[in-house]
Amino acid sequence: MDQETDRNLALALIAGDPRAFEPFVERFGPLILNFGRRMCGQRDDAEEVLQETLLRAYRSLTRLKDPAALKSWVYRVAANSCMKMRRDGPPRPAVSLSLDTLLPSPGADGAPADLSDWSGQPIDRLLRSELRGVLEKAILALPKPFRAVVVLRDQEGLSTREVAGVLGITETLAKVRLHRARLALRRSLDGYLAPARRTGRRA
Amino acid sequence: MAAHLSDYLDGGLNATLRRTIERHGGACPPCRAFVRTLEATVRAVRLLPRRPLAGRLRRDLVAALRRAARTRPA
Repeated sequence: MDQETDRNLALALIAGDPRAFEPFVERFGPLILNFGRRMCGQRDDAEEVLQETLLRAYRSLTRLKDPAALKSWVYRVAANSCMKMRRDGPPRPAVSLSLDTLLPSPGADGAPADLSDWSGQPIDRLLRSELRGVLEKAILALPKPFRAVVVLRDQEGLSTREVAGVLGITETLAKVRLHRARLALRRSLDGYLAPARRTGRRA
Repeated sequence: MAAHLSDYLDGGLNATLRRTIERHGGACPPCRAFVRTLEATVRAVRLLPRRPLAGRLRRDLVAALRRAARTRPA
């Protein structure tokens, strides 16, 4: 879906063309629903975010300076909606995002400790079963600002610049948060995918 | 070097830094494992299944937008 199509869609909506509603819902419904699910975890919350987002984005469209930036606009409204939700799902253990827990720690001789390379496992197939739940929970365990960056960048495919614009932060901060979030997710997956013998415990 | 890893994965690093990381990975198995598993993590997030929009929800949303259009100030 290119910017030209989005631009035309935005202009049609602003002009009050009722034929634009279905394409608007088709285009952004699935994206925002999945974004909301990733951010909120509960299906009802995701649907609430979706409805609120599309309505609010639609109503505020006249404020959109560049109609071609419709996608960023809608995501910005969605992100605000998610950030504002006071319920953050069931209580989850706080996850540490300090670099010393996220990076491999040196072994006794100062060199990095042995790391398991599970990257060759069939991630695609594993995501159809247990791994999916593990990763979804790991994403939900991230503090919201970190969760938003990794979901927007890696799941939704927005560029770092778009992510920064959507969240109202600098590109540098977006990159730093993205990095930490990815490291934290890697650590969570490591706990599940690395062989038990290395860690001495089952996932 | 760890600080540059995300940029490396996203293709945003200059050639020199990229070569440095790749050369180090060549000599250091734990670091190579680390980069590969980080890459696999990003891939996993991208591959997370996405649900389609249910027909009911789609219809409700279009209806809500139509209602909003009727009450929109001129």
